[in-house]
Amino acid sequence: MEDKIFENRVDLSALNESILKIRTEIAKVVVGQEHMVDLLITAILADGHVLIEGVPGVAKTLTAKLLSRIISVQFSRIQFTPDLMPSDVLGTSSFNMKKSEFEFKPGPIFSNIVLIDEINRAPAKTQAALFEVMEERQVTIDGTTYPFAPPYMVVATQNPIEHEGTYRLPEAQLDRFLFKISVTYPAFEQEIAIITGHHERKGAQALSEVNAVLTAEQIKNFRHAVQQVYLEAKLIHYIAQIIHETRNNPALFLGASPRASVAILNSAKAYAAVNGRDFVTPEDIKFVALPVLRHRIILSPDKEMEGVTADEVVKQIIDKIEVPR
Amino acid sequence: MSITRLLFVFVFLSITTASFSQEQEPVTPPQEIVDSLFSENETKDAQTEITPQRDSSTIEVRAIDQSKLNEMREDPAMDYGQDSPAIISLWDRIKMWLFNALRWLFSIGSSTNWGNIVVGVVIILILTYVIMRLLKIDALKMFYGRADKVTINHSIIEENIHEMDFEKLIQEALARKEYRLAIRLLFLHGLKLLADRHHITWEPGKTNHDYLNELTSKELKTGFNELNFYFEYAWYGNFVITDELYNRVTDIFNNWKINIR
Repeated sequence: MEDKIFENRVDLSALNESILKIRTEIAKVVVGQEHMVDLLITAILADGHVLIEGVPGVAKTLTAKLLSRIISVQFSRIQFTPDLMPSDVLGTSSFNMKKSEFEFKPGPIFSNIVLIDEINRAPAKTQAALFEVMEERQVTIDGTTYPFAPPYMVVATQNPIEHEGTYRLPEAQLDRFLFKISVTYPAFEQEIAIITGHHERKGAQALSEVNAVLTAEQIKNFRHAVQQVYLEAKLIHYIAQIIHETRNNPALFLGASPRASVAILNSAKAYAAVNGRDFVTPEDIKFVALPVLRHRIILSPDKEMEGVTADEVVKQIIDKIEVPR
Repeated sequence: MSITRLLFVFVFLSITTASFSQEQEPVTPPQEIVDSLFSENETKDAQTEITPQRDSSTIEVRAIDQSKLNEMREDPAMDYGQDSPAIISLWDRIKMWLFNALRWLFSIGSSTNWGNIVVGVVIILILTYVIMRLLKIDALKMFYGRADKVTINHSIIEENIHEMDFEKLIQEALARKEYRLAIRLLFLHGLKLLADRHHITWEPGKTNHDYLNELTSKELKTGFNELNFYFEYAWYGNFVITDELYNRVTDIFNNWKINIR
C-alpha cells in the first residue's frame, strides 16, 4: 500500500536487494549483532572507515574478515604491534641492482579493504602513517603520490583503552573513522546459538560458507544513489545543533569537529537508503549520531573521574535537543 | 695473578721508569749558544758570576686627588658597608605569611600527638580541596550519586503543542492549499491528544518512533504508525500531497482519534 502512494525518487531497489543478501551472508557466521551489521553496511555506503571496539573474543576480527569476503575486492590485513614502523604499513623504496634505480614496494595498506587488527597496540608514530590514506585515499612517498581506486575502507579493531599494552589513538586519527562501533557480549539466547552453531559445524570453517555478494562497481553505484537522498533543511539545522552542543557542553573538554557534521549527514543518508527511503528522518540522524560522535569527543577531567562515559553524554545531548517536526 | 694483569703491571712500570729517567737527565745547552750570550772579554768570568746593575731612573710619585676621594666617600652608591633597602614583593609577603602560618600550625602540632594528627588532616583536606577546585570536581556528586545529568542551557523549543490552536491552524493551511503543513499539524494534534491523555510522555528530544514504542494500546499503535508514515513522507520527504491524499489522512486521523480515551 505504502509503496504505491509514495514512489521513491531515487531508485534504491538494487541497493535494498543487495542489503538483503549481505544480511543473509553475515547471518551465516555472526549471531545477532544486528546493530553492528546495520552500521557496517551504512559505513560502506557512506564511504567511511570503521573502528570496532570490544573486549577480546566478541567477533570483532571475524566481522571485519566477513566484510571482506562479502565484497569481492582486494583485501589485506595488518596486525598492529608495538614495534611496527610506518614503512611496514605504507611500503618502502628499495634499490634495484639490475635497473640501478630505486623501486617502490607497496605495503599492505595498498588494497581495497584493509583490516587493521588491534590498531591501538602500535604507537602514535605508526598511527600517523594512516592519516593521509584514511582522509585522502592516497599515499605520498618520496614525493610521489599513489591514489587508491575506490572502494577504499579501513576496518580497524581495538581492545578498550583500559586493557594492558594499548595506546590511546591520536584525536586526528579517531576523527577519520566514520563510526566507532562498540561490540558487547551476546545475550544468553545468542550465546546458546553461537555454541550450537559451532557444535553443528563440527570444525568446519564458518567463513568458507560466505559468498561475495557485492562488487566494486555496485558499491560505486549505490554510493551515488545515497548522495541523491533528500534531506530537509530543518534536519541540517538539527545536525548542526547536535554538533554545536558538543562544543559548548560543560561535560566535554573537546567537542566534535565539522568533519563529524559531514559524517552524520553522509551516514544518515546512507542509513535512510538502507531502510529503503530516499529521504532522511530524525530517526536516522539519532541512530548514527552516537557511533559518529562517541570517539570524537573528550570528556572533561571531572566527568571522567566521576565515571561518566562518552556514550552517556552524547545520548543526553541528543535527547535534550528538540526533534524538528 | 693472571698473565694479563702481570703484563699490564710490566707495561706500566716500564713506561713510568722511562719517563723518570728522562726527567733526571741534565740538559746542557750547546757551547756555541752559551758563547754568544757573553761579550768577548767577559766570557769566562760571566759564566761564573753575574752582578745586578742599579736602576737609576727617576720615579714620579702620583698623589690621589683629595677632592675626588672625598666626593666618592660621600657617594652612598660607593658605601658598600650600608645594607640595601629591603624590597618585599606581594608574593614574598604571601610566602612569609604562609610560612609563618605553617610554622605556627606545626608548633601546635608538634606539642602533642593529637595536634600532629589534626595538622596532618588539615593539610590533607586543604590539598584535596585545592586539587578538586582545580579539576572542577563536585565532591557531593562523587559521593551521593553520579553527576550524569548534563544540562543544556539554551532552549530550542520553537513551538509548544499545548498552546497551539490546531483547528484554526489546519483551516488556515487548507485555505492556502498547503497540504504538507496541514498533515504536519494533524500529526502534532495527535501527539498532543496522546500527551493529554498520558499515553505518551512529551519530551522534545523524543522521535516519533520513541512515542510509538511508548504506546501500549494496539489500536492506538496501529493508527499512530500509519499517521507517522504519512507525516514522515510529507514533512521530511517533501513529497507532493494532494487534497485527495490529505482527506485520506484526515479519515485515518478521525478514526484513530476515537480510540484515545
